[in-house]
Amino acid sequence: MTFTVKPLFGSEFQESAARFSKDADLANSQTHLASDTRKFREKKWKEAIELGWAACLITEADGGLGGTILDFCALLEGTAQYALPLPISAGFGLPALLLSSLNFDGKQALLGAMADGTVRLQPIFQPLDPFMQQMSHDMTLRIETSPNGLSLNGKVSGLESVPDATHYLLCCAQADGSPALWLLATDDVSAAISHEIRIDSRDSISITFAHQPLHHQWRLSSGADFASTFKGVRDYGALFACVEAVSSMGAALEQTIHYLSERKQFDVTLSTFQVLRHYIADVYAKYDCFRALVSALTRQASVTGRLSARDVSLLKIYLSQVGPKLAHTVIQTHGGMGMTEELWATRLNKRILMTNLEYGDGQYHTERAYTLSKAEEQHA
Amino acid sequence: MKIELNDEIDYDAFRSEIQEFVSQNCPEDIKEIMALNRKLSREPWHRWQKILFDRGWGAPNWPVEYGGTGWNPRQQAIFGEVLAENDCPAQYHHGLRHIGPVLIEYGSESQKARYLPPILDGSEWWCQGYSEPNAGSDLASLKTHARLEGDVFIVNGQKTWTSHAQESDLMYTLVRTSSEARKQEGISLLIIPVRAKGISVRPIRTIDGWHHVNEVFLDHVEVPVEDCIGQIGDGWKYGKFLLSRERLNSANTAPLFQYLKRTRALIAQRLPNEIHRQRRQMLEFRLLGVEAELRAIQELGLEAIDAVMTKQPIRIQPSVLKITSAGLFQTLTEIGMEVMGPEYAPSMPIDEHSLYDGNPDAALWLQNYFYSRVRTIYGGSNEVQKNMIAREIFGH
Repeated sequence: MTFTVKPLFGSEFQESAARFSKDADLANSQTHLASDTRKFREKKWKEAIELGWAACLITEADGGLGGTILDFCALLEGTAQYALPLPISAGFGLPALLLSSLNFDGKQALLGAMADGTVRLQPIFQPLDPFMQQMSHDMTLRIETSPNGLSLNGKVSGLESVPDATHYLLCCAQADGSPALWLLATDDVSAAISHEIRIDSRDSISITFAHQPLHHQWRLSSGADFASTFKGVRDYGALFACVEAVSSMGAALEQTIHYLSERKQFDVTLSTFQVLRHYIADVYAKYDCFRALVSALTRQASVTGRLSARDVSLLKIYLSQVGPKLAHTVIQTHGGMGMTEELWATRLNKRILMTNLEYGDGQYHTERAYTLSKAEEQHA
Repeated sequence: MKIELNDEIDYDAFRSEIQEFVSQNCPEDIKEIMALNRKLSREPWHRWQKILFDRGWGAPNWPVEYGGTGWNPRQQAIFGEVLAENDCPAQYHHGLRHIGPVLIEYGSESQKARYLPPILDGSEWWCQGYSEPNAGSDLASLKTHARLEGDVFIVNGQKTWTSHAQESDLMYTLVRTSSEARKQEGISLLIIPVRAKGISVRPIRTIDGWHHVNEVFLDHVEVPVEDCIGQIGDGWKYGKFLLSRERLNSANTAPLFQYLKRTRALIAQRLPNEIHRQRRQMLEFRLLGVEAELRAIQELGLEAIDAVMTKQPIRIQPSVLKITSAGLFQTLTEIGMEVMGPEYAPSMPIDEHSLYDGNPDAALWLQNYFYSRVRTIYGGSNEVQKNMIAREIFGH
């Protein structure tokens, strides 16, 4: 019997998310116009909210399902098996983690509205993201002080687009340089939005604000506590990206092994060629190690409620070694078929490559782990 | 996946007990050999085994009735980790982990009585007579043959890559006793004294300058039939059993973490100045890549141990662990070489009798670099491991 992926965080979430994503993948392949695709994704986003995915990480007291980190990771695992092109982590997971960890007026009502889907948040985390600060060439978003009060100006790009968002959840430095979190209703602000499609087929948007007034009552949190919470949530973003990566890798491997076992050349199946077997054995070994590390760190975070920044960096460094290698091997061993868009493994591959770039790539995390190590040494 | 076991062992207390004993009782000169990555010879190794034996820890992997500790796989893993963390040697493997379990499983009562006690206290050393000039990875092609004459086998042939033969007392030896069936059949496992009449041992000089391996020539060597382990012709089965006992060896990542620490210290020591800043940082970045993979195999190793503890099958993990840990060792020694640089290239001892005059540190890093090449060859080469992984994931 050939290799089949065993779910890492097996639960009903994983199974239902996988079914949902498989159906979505099939239906999506039948839409050809960009406008149809956007409508289709809005529809699937609503369905996901109806399934309770938005409520997963919100406590029951706040109107959510009270799911654990493992439940949410099971959800991501299911969606990533089919590279579902929806921002489950960015749209559901990270805002819930961030807002649940802060104290502000109206918190319970906001979380309840997120859980039932009446509030749909478009996160804008990039202005405080050190990786994006290094890499983005047109991020000019800033808060300015004028005689009329605060105003928001400039552009931020490369955001994962949340379908039909009702609010922006903006993380941005204030005029004095201190970080702050703002909640802006999309109906109350004027912004120019342009859409692009990312390599993993997810919608991406750029937003430009021009002299957009910012009212103090829109500010939810600021200062050192917020900065520290934001850093922690960003690390969860990196962990979630790795959970998605490992799930997509498993599915891509499974599909590749199936292909090599079926496809014949020179009257024999490709799986009998030792060079191909060794290619796959090589990447399987890397995948298995990566899987074990993702599993261990996720469970540790779930049990202790803590996620070590250095461990997250090591995980992302390892993803940068394993993810592209696996994706390239999947393309190579499929031959010409590996270059085609219609292949399921191609969509998985593109998602794997994108996860490598999310929340800091290998180079960024190498530098971060190095800095953290030096700080630890000095502290010791 | 971590399994919560319903046993009553306090593993933290167990770890502390081991830690306390080994940190206080492992002789400093032996620790220094390990800390400097020097080659460990029989005398200090035996001394260490005797200390552990006297404490009742002579055989962590044997059942109590044969003088072992009766520890479960997790306890054995903790024991191995703590030894490495304290720069104490792992116990000599050929007796304790290779032939000992085979004798316990398949040996006669008289063989157990004769051979197990000296393995436990370390007074008798074994080596492995498996590989031959034309039978390495393809071991079943071995040609050394044993002809039964009355109640004595007459053995003729040649073994090669025989580690420790120069300092061993006994060799467990796979020989062909029949050529009539498929090549895996007709093989028997014999116990042969290394100093028996008709045996000659010739050292093989390896690229690291150390003396590890030998050629062993067997010329009309007489072996009593009672020194055949188990059934005549079933040696292949015992050989496979022996290898299966070794499968979780690479799950102990503590030696790799120690090596990583030493490599970091080497960088700090050899490249301390501003002129080294860029080179130092590049090497430290590479070490973070090594550490990332090391953390991953550490977790995979723990999963494998949990699987054994809960009687789940482990098929692929040992091969994955072996390939990955071997690669990491090699990378660490490669980084070590880059730190040493060309100035130290002439520090290599020219033969096994050379002293470390000049620069002993440099010599040891050079020797370990060359020695580490064997990690992807011995114990089932990378290619063999990949074949095993492929067989599992492709189902054929």
